[in-house]
Amino acid sequence: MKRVLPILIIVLTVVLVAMATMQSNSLSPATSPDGAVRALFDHVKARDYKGAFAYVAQSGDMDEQAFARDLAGRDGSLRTYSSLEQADTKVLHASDNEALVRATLEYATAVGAFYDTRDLKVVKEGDRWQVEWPVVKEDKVPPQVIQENYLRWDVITRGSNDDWGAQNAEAPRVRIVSMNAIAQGPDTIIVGEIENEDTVPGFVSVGATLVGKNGDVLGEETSFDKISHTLLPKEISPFRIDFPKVKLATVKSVRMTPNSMLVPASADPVIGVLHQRVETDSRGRHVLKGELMNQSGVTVNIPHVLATYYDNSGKVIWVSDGYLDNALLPQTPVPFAVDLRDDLAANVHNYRVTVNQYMLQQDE
Amino acid sequence: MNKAPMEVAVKCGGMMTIALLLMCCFAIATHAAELNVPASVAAGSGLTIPSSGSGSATLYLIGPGTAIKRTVQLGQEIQLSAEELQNAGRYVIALDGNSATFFVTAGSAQSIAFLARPSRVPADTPNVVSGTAFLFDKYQNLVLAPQPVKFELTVNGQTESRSDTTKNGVAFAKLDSSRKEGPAQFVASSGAASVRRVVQVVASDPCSLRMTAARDKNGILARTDPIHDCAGNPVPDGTIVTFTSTEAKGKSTVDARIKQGVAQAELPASNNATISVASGVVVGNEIQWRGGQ
Amino acid sequence: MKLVLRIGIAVTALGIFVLVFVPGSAVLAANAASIAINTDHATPREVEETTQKALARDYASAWQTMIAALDQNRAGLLGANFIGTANEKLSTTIQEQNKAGLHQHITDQGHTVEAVFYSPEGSAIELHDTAHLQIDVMDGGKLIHTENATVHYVALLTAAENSWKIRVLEAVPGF
Repeated sequence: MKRVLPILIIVLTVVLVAMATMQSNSLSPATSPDGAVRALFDHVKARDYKGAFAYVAQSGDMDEQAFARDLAGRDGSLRTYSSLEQADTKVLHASDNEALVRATLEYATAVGAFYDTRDLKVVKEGDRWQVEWPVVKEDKVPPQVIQENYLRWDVITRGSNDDWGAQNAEAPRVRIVSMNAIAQGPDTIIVGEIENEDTVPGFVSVGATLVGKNGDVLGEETSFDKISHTLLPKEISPFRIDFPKVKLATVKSVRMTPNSMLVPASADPVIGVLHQRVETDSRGRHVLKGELMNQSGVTVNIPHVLATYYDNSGKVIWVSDGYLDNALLPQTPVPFAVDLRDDLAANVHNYRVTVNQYMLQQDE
Repeated sequence: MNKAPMEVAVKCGGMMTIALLLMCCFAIATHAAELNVPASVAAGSGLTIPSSGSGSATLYLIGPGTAIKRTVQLGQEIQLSAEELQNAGRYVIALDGNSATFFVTAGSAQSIAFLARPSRVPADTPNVVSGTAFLFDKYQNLVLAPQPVKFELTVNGQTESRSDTTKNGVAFAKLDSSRKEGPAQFVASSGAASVRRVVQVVASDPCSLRMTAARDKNGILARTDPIHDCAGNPVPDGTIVTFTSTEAKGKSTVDARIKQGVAQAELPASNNATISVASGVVVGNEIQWRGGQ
Repeated sequence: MKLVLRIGIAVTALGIFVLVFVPGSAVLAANAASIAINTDHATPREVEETTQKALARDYASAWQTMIAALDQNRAGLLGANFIGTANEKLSTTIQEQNKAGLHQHITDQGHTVEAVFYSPEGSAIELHDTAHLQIDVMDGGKLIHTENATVHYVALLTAAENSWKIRVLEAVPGF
């Protein structure tokens, strides 16, 4: 009896650990359409693309490496720094041999949660359901020489031994060209635009302080990433500053604090924003869609889209943003979509899209 | 028997008289070593202080940049050198139980601390360059006596100048920037002292922004004329110029950069679009593009 | 009687606790310079509210630093609040004091400060300070000079990384 109990506990422990570490359905076929989709994404969550590929219909033209690149990302894109957190499935319609399953995916990224929705066709092959993964057309940039002779700025600041009256290379002059305070439920949102009026590039940020009716400070926030931080000469960026749980009715005045810093910068890359239009997506929500075209010869690893919406008097009424999880290859259009608040869509008379970019390395 | 209280009283009175006499002597003795210093001296000019009495005593001198303790002979003149009194400020001098204070004031202006701001200004803008000058003597003491100061701003052979008189050791001026861009020499001078700074005059906002559009193999090539500000200065390369094409299907924008004085961008092909151009808050011309062009 | 004694001990202990452990206690507050800065007449630029507060804070701090440095002969304290010739002259004073065995014990009894110049670009301010001081000059433990003085100072402060520092501090016969 004395020996039996410890042996029993050890065996039970081993079995439980094995159950926990073994992938569910690792080799077991999917018996339902949404089961196939869930099993596929369970493997993707564990970064087991080989295992996930086992649930892809073999009748298609998809190869395993292209499948893995489609899910894991490539070219240093935001997807390559993300991990799949959650995959919710919903069968849109099904028959005996095929079905359409909507997968709503949530990725954890360095810039916050990223959502993706895929409608996947699932077919029955023999006794198992398999996902017909859409063939991913990978853009290939043809070999070519692209001349890059855009301006680059470097900064030399004053030394510690310089005479105290000597000037330093000053930060660029920036100006807030517009500002609007908006109520969104219990929150106050400050939106507007800032211009670099100078002839040198700068790193800019905008802060705001809300002052109440008694002169008390209700909140102090900055634009964080809802702004294009590096502005070239005469470049205008939108900004948005959120004050959660501060009601607009309690605000007497807003004190804006633009800041700028002289930084080295490059005038490259140029990114075109093509075919912009407001539409409703598959969820019925308003989005601003378009395509980004990287007109330079370097890859833009993580593009960040900022959209400014104006009413018919030219006043900024909303600013939204979104990151693309695909890199922008040279000369290759990539679609984008950013949200537009449904309650504001009817008031939008005009809009402007700017693109921020984060690049991992730049060749000299 | 009644004589005892009288004797005590006489003895006390005598002792008090002696004490009083001693105090007077002491007072006389100390009065003999009193310090005779002027209210102020000019920096770097030294000072001679007479002393009386005899024997040696310790001289103390505390002031800005100075803390001296040395033995001197009473009855002889006490010399304070120019180096010991070069810093302007308030000094305490003590000798043999007596002390006094005096001031050292700044000499004539020999150098200028010149603040020229900012280092970069837009062309043809009024009151945009400011200069502030502080005058110091050869020992780096702030010269508080009023002095004339001249400010001159020169670019491309054209000079603008202002004169001011220092008040509390400082003079300032605000000048207009020139119409022409370039490095402006900004000089502050007072007497023989002068300091030069460089203020970069750069182009202002683009003026009369004009573009043309032509079909090319990829779509529409929009290109500006050489871009200048209203004074004719070329707007520098790297400045953002935004081209926009608006058509029924949607809108396309390209934030181009000025390169070699002009900006250009490729816009998508279209049969019917309105093409516009802007830089910052300055808007240029519009082109109605028809597919047949 | 025993009750009275116990109450007395308790009150004494509480008083010691407050003096030793409560921050900003009366002992420290008595040594802080009291500063009133009038910026109404500063030209050509108006002194902003945030600058006024920073100025009052940094100028008061500079005086506390200088008093401590001259008393303890520690020139290393000066860098936080003094720059340029003001720092050099004070450091030399302390060096010379150290060599001679002297130190100055200054009790700050308050200042009346007026800003008379604020540069157009906001990087330099000139103050006129009427300071009320008790000045004791000591040779070791021996007092060689003592006075209750009202001294006029011209102070030039320039904006450093995140504070105002004194670049010139010159005592003058009058304004």
